[in-house]
Amino acid sequence: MRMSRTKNLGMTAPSALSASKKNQKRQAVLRRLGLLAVVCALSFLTAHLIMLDAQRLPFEDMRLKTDLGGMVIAALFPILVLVGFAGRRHGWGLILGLVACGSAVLAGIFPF
Amino acid sequence: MTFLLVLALWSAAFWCHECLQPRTRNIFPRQTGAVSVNQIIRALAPCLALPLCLFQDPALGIFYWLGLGSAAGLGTSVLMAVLKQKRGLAQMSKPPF
Amino acid sequence: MRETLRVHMGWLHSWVGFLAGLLLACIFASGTLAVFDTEITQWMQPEVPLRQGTSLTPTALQAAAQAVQAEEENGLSAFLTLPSQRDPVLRVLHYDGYEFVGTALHSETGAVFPARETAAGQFFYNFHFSLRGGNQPGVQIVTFLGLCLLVAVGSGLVIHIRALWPDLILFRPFGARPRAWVDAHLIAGVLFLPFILFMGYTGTAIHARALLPVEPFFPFHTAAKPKKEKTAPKGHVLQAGPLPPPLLPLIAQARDILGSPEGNLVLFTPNEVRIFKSDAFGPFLTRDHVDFSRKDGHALRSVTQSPPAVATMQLVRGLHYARYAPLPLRWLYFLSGLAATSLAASGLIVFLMKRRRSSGEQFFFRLAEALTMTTVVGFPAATLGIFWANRCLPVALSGRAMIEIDLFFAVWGLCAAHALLLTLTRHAALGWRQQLGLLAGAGCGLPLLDLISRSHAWGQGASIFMASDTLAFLAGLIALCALLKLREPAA
Repeated sequence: MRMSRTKNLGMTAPSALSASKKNQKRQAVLRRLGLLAVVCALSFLTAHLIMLDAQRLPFEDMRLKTDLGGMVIAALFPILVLVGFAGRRHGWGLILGLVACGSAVLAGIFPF
Repeated sequence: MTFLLVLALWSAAFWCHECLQPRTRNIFPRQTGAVSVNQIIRALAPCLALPLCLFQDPALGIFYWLGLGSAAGLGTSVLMAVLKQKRGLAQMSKPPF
Repeated sequence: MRETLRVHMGWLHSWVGFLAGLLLACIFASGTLAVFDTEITQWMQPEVPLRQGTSLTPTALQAAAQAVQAEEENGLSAFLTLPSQRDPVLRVLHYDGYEFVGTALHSETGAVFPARETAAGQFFYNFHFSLRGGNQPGVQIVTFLGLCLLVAVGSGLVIHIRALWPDLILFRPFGARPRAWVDAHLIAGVLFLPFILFMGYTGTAIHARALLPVEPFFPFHTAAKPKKEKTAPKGHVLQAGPLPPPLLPLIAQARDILGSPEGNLVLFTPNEVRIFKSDAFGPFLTRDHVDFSRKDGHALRSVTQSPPAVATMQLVRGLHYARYAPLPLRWLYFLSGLAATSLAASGLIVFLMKRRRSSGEQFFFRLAEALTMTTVVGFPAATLGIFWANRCLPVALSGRAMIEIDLFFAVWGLCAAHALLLTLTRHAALGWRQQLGLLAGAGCGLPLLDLISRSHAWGQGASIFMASDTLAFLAGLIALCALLKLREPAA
């Protein structure tokens, strides 16, 4: 009986371990996916707001304003995604993204 | 001609850089003094290549410098890999005494 | 597993890199070919001789002006590109919605060369920035992929930063296969990092407005404009203008003002003739131009000064498009483009290698392998297919340019179907071997085809034909080496 229990344990322990490992891995992947989705959404919103803010630049040509906005976005968007995704401790990456987004909103509200 | 010189300078810099790495030092043993020579070449060769490129074409020199640097790095890495392979095979085929 | 920053960013790099890399590799490859778009067009139109000078005669310009007017009467907005050292012919072109196509004229006699219809180098240029999908969704997808590239490069830097300096040129092609592929990925990524970052950034910046349009949020910008009469779609005109005045004195005057002695662009509106500075003179892609009246040829205005903000954008465009680059620099652009393509392709293969043992039996893995095969081998095979089509299709075939392009997509599609079929039936290795065999045959056979087609004399512009044929042969040779390597058991 004991032997069979031991044998039984021997059979189930590794599989249970691997199942829990798999579960942990799935959880980690889901967490990363969630974080990436939030960070991308936030960065995209910020980029969009910057593009709208660029329309307030003192140039006549709308295409030029969009182009300059595009230059800022092309540099800022990847940085925001990377920082937002990298800064997991205390969510500082997300906080930084929120600050950037908030700044873009404020720049749109206040005259400059 | 200038571009060949720039390519050579960059290649020398990359070669010296690789020679300074511990993994390569074991395969290509050098004298102690060679380390500082390698360090000097690694630092100076690209700096020398830049004015050469700028002298050749002041407007586009920086692009030539970067492009030739990348090409030289690629060439040197392949050459180094082949030499290491040959050296490694030669060492392996040597009699043990 | 401990969730370190390296692991975290490694996951981002792998997935963003793989998903975006499937198309980025094609975008890099077509961009690399687009560096030599003019030369590819010349290879594909062997009937156009390349040994003329850049001098222009009134007769040739008169013939060109008549050709422009004839195009306008057909509703097409045609323009002229004047001969240059790079392309010593007078071309009458129009935009067909994707490419600039048209006829080539002798720059002294004005005689039309009976050149075969082809989209040629222009096709690769268009594919590079829009995947031939127009502004929506083509340009939008490419711009989004540009952002993904920058994210992947950034995360790649984070995970490799510690080994970046000591392993700067470390390459172990004779080691284990996965090690060799990772080294190839790193070598291409690290040594050509300035180029990849710069091209990724400028390419994304140039088209960012396609991804984030502002017009819907600023309707007053369009509403405030005075209501003009109906505007023609891009590349078309609503009415033909009068026959322009003699162009030679106008061109001479414009060249003096613009400081651009050759290769200018001449655009026509119903009332004006606009002569633009050639893009070959300096890295700033200026649109400096001198305008003349189309009725009597008197000078109307000249635009030669750009404010700093405009000049910045001109520099960004100019450096990305590389039209300013002299031949040696264009070869460096080409080499760097090849490195970027290898970076993406090797990244895709490393992704598969890392997961083959754990997930090799899963459906999604096999799908990923099929897509990788389609990108890494199928795209070059389709590219060579367009070169083969150019030599094999009858010269006078109508709609030839479109047939070439259709054949490109047909070959690519067939490669995709073949890859899917074999990977899903667990014969991926056979699929790789067969497609590599096709690529090797197409590449190594192209110089032979060019030789036996007798489409051109080898005396004139031989360097273009020889360089193209050699590159195709090299591509075939690389495929052959890969094929032979695949037959060996893995180290």
